[in-house]
Amino acid sequence: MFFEILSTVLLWISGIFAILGALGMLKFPDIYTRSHAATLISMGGMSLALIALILRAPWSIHSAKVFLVLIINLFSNPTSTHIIANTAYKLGIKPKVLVRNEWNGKK
Amino acid sequence: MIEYLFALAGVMVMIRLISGPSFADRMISTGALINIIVTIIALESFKVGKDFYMDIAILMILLSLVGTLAIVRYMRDSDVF
Repeated sequence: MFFEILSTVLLWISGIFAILGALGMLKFPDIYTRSHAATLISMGGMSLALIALILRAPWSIHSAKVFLVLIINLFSNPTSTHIIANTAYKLGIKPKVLVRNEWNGKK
Repeated sequence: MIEYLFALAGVMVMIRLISGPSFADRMISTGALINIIVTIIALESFKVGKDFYMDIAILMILLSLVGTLAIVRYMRDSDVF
């Protein structure tokens, strides 16, 4: 009963996080700030919803598959976001809200 | 009920996917859209009660990483990582 209530609360919080991340994807001015909004969708929306679904039926093969998706997402999403932002900087897309640049594009 | 919130977020991400200025916006939007689709698949699998829907989710989240790395590696000149 406690897990049911906690799962429902976490699902609603994840839906609110997904809406806020999508609004950030629409309203932010730049690729480097939009990547923060995409991470908000991935971590706050997807990971929280999957944790809530694991709490719905613990210790079953169904929740084991959900846990596998959660672990794969925790490894793959920072990798892809980092390589996209690095390539965007290398191809010459400048940040619009930058105050001071400390990296000259070299390794 | 939560699926509709995620579907609304998917529509808003898809607007950015269509009207992104550069390719990096489209790659970020594709990753976010695949995450939203995987979440909707997981919610639907728990509503129906069948566990083989999650196999589709595992394949989609793996192909998201591989496809993103392949396209970005193609767009860049050389020496990735």
